Amino acid sequence: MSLDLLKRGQQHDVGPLAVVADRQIVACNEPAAAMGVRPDMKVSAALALCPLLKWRDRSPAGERAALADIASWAGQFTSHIALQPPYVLLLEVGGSVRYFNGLGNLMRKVMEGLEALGFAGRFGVAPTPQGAVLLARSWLPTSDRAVIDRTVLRERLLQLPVCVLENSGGLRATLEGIGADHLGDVVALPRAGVNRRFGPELLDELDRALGSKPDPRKMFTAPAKFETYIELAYPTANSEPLLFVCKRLFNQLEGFLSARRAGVTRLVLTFKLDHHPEPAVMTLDLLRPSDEALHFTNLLKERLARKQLQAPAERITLQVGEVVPLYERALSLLPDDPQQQGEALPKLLERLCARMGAQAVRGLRAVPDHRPECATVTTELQDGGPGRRTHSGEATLPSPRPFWLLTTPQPLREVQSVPQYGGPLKLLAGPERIESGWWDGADARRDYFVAETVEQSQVWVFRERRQPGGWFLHGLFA
Amino acid sequence: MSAAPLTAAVPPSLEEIAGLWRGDRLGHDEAAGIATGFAALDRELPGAGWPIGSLTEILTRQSGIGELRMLLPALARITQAGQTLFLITSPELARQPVLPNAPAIADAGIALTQVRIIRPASEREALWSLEQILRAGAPGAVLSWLNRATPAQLRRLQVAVKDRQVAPILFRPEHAEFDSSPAPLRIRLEAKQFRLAVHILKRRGVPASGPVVIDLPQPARKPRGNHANIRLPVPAGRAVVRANPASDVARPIETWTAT
Repeated sequence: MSLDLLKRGQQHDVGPLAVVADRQIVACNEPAAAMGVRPDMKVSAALALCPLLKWRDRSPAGERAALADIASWAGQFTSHIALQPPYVLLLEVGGSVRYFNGLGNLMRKVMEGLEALGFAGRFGVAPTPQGAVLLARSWLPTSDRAVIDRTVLRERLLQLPVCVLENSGGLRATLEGIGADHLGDVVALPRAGVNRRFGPELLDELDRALGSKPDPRKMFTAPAKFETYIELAYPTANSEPLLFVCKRLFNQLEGFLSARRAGVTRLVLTFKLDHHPEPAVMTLDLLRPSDEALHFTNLLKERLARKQLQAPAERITLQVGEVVPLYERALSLLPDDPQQQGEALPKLLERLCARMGAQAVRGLRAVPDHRPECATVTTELQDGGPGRRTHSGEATLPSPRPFWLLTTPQPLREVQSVPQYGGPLKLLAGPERIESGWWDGADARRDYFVAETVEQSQVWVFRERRQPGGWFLHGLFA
Repeated sequence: MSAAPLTAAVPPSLEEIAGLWRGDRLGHDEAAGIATGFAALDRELPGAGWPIGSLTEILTRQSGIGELRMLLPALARITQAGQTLFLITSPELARQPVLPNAPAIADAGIALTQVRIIRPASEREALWSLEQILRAGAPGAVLSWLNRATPAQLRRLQVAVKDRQVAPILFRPEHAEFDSSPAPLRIRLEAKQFRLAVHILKRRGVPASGPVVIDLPQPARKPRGNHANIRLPVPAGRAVVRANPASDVARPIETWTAT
């Protein structure tokens, strides 16, 4: 677990990594092991073997937080979760087996999901919580670590070596010294003697595992707020590994959200940069609440394709906006359900926004204002979304308006009082006088004409009535 | 030996043989398009309208001759049906940055709530967003202005739009006429004295015999004389009030085919 916290910040083993407690190696990854680094080695010795070794001090607080994060993620499988620090998470899955189509499928989902989060794990399934813990700690093959029947559980547990017990710490050598190698041997010993000799914890644990003693657990309640981070042992600004790491964060978020049947509309990724005081912040805004890690990943991919980080990131934090309930949608038998096509549009718009920025993807709204440049407003997609009608059958325009407006009117040359635009313009209609806006500082006093260019296309020009006057091109009929 | 009645062996009419298609007809069996609003043009287009699920190219020498006005009836219809209209305003759409003018678009009957403006920074991004829109396949139409698209890029778009309920319309410069293109429908527009000549360069079925001339709503009708009959207002304050000759915009659309 302590090593996983380091390893999950990278896509592949980039280089040697180790976790250290009291200047001693606790765990190391494969590249480090290949260089000869072993647990229980002094840091100085390991560095001598492997000068590039990156090591971090073990962080019990970080591990506790990670266990709680995994517990909130696991809320999608069951609502009965208990933590057993430092490394054990207990899920009461009896009620979920049918929903997930069998115990095998459920366990595969759990283990695959855990791997997608970047954590390695072992599972055990048993009718008693402690029994499951002991099975998970054993070296039995995968198929033997799932037991449903109590008598089978008893048989299987009694074959296990004493070292699987959590309270066997310093007692292992003594137990083996008196010939009690397996749990079965311990059970066969007189209880009073064992309790006197080894303390009550040993038999207590065994009784709870076998189910002869009740074992109530404190249920875990997931926090209402979601915030998590991953440290990158090898900081990078490359989008591919960043995306990979963020995907782990999104997977964690997906579990958290699906446990609540909820979605989010805003995700904030904060990249703490190497040697930079200011973190880089990326905000993904969604049009509709979503809980799909894949969708989040796609959006981030577009965003990263557009804008790279200016320095390697060493820590990525994921926060979310308001968590809103998702409405259930019935699955349809028919492939092209119009409802599903309706789903495609918000996702498409989100993709476009992620790549090009919200400024580049807009809705359109007409505003009653006589000044042509003020009559059009481009809107954020959220307020111009389908379903909300802002435009109600307006009166038809008093005179024609062009389809394209120049964002800034273009001054036109004038030859013998005839405006020129690729040749002399022929005025076809007008003038239409527009005088407005004296109250807000953007005063306009103009005479508009429809004119034809020498190429027979029609344009909208105006003559400025304020000093110094002159002709301007303002629109194109198309 | 009596002769068998010959008439029994000969089908009464060629028209009644199932599966027989005569070469002089348009392929009308394809998916119906979006009616253009111009009967003469509908007659000439396979699917009797702007095709859905395949590219349509419109080539013009310069913008502003009516290329959008020609599409408005169809666009008004699809937006009123709740479908989406995307405008990908490429930076090269005009010589200067432009924005769609909402009042004019609303006046043409297009539901503004269904319009989405995409303003890419480059033609590359325009192509990317066009492909995304086609792939997503949200029903509607996409208008985009492409100046430098290559045949390979167009082929990619044509593949993307296959079996989608989208009508993609690409505006391209006139010189693209001689480039090869996978678009099943290609049209060149020519301004003809306040009317629009539609040359169908390529369509499914038989080649078109001649241009279709359609009468578009004009912002201003052809003046009788030259522009001198419009009196310019005196710049310094004294306004000349005149009836607006452009009030005949709303006259009904007439169409006829040139011979």
